[in-house]
Amino acid sequence: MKKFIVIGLVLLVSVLLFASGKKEKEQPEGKSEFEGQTIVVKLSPDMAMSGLKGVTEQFEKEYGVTVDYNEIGWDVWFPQQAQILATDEPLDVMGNGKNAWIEFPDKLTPLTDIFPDVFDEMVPELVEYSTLRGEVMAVPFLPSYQIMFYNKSIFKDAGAEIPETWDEFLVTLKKLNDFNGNYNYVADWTTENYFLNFILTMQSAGVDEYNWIDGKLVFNFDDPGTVKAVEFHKQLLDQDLIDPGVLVQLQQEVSSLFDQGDIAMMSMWEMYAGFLTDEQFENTGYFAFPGMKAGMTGTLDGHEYLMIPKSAENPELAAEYIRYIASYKNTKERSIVDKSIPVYAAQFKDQEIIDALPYLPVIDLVKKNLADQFPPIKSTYELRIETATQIHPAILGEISIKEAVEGLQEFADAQESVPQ
Amino acid sequence: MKRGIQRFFDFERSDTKLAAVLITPTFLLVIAVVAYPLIYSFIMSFGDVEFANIKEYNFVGISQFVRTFTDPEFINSIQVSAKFVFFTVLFKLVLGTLIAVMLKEKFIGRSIARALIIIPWATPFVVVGLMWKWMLHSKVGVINFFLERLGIIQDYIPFLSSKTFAMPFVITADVWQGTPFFVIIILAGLQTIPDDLYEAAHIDGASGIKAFFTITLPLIRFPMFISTILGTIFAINSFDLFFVLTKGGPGNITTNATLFVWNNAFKFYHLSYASAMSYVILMFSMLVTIGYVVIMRKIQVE
Repeated sequence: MKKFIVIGLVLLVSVLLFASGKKEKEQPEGKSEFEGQTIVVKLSPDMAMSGLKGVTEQFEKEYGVTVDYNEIGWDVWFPQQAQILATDEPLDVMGNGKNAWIEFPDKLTPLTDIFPDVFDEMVPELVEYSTLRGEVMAVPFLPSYQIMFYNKSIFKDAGAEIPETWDEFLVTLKKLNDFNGNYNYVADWTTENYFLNFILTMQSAGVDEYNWIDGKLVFNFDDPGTVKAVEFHKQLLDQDLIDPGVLVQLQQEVSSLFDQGDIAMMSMWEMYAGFLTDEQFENTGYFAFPGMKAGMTGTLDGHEYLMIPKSAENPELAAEYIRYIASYKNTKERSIVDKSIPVYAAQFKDQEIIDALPYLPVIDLVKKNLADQFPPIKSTYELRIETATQIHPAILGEISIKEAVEGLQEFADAQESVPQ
Repeated sequence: MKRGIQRFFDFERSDTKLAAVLITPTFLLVIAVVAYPLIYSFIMSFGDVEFANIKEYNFVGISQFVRTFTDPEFINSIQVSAKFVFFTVLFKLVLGTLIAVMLKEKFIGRSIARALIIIPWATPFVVVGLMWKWMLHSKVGVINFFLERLGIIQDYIPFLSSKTFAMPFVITADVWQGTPFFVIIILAGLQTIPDDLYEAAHIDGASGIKAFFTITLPLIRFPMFISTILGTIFAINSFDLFFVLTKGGPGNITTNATLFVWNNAFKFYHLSYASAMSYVILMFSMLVTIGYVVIMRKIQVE
């Protein structure tokens, strides 16, 4: 009896192994020099938006190739991309942000000579953004800026005006709160992400997060303008204008609260417009984050790019794939359908795109006041956590703002910079 | 040779051989997924491995371990963990014992009550975290709603954003989720106590409370210790609730040791340092566990 059990188990395992070995994906039909070849692509769902999977399938069909296409949520993707680059895991196309070429510059294929024609036509500041020590490291695919979203109906019904300065913002917010009894401004101030709102507000006080002085990286966290920025955040809490729960409110909760339609304003990546329903989209307006004084504003970059890791097994097909999905035609379609910011300079003059993206004038206004969420240090994330560790107690009134910004400055000064 | 092979596959003659064959895959799997990572991370903790240089191992001796004892952030996270462990285990033990004693008594609906008490324990940590996050919400939370209706508070309180309340409510959520585990183990112990002992105590004129302290407690010492040891280990390793409820905030007020290690490994990419911290945490866990076992044996001997 025992013998039969063992033989049975061995047979079962053998059959399973044999069956799994037989499973091979059928190659799609098509004609190209790459026919029959395969590449692996990994990127975030926000980068993919609604159409990339379809475009990829079209690419597979036209080229007769297989794309092992993977969309991976940011929480998982962030550590995984580091692991892939660090361990030289085979990956042909990677979608990621600036952190990739700041932290792993030697693991990415320089693209200057691969896409010279594409870069010539793309928005110069986006190409410049991904240039490290004279080499373009990545192809712009999803430019993104943080701007203010507002609910048109609530503003209209409350008789509120679009604020341009912090003082006006406080007045508008109070008016809106008094009107519907809600906290009408939502943002993600959690320990992990407070840094983003912090540097954005610094920027809107006219303070650059850092400067290069004589080749040395100098952060400006102890600047008087930074103190004003923290005071502004504290005022929002002290005057009970913002939900005190904001310190544990994640980005997903922020957008979900705004989606419900009874909160008037949120600070969010403009790409989120692509996730609004038609009705919500119609009822949503956009404005630049208010500045400390009139004429000032600030924003953050959340740009995502396409890269070819040096560990790519098929860099030629990877380049062809990037060229295909980042073509003028396909990116125009993304702008119209998914509301993504154009990547080609000429697209900003394309009337179809202008009509589809009501926030473009706001982007024009804010993009010159860009705070850098990935400052050129290898310890960006530690700086993020340290910012909340120092500044949260200050805005909660437990320590002085001066003490907090000095503590943060001391931490930032000790970080090793990445030469540009 | 042929006979040797035949003898090896002759399972009819030996239960041991069959057992070995059946256990081998599991044993190999355990080595691959438990022993190998443990040994690898131990070796890593004596190096200077970051994600960026993951293939370059430089031996740096015990410097990563020395760093753990001088890093104020890690020390802070250990203090957060210590508070969390102390209060969660204490509350779970007291509540678990009381509930177990109540559930031992005969009453209508006892079976249903015993089944219902398991629900929090069966609920995944992430779900518990999200549920408590909404219950504690500063705008729509049901806890704020009731406290205001009862006149205990004037305005809604942002519990999880508050330095005063964030940690107590992470503890509360964990106690809610983990108490049933204590109940199950202690209830099992209670059921082994013969009714004769209580009858004899009753005849001798002992009150219910006296019987509890002289009969029940001494006889459930062992299950109480077991649940305390396991509860302590669970609490030291707790991650999910902190991650979902507060992500360590506000500031670093609720950043416990495991969350801090996770940040270091997967956000800051300090793999060697994270490994060293993990081993320091493991050492603390082992010391605490050994301490419990020593005390338990001492009591048993007495």
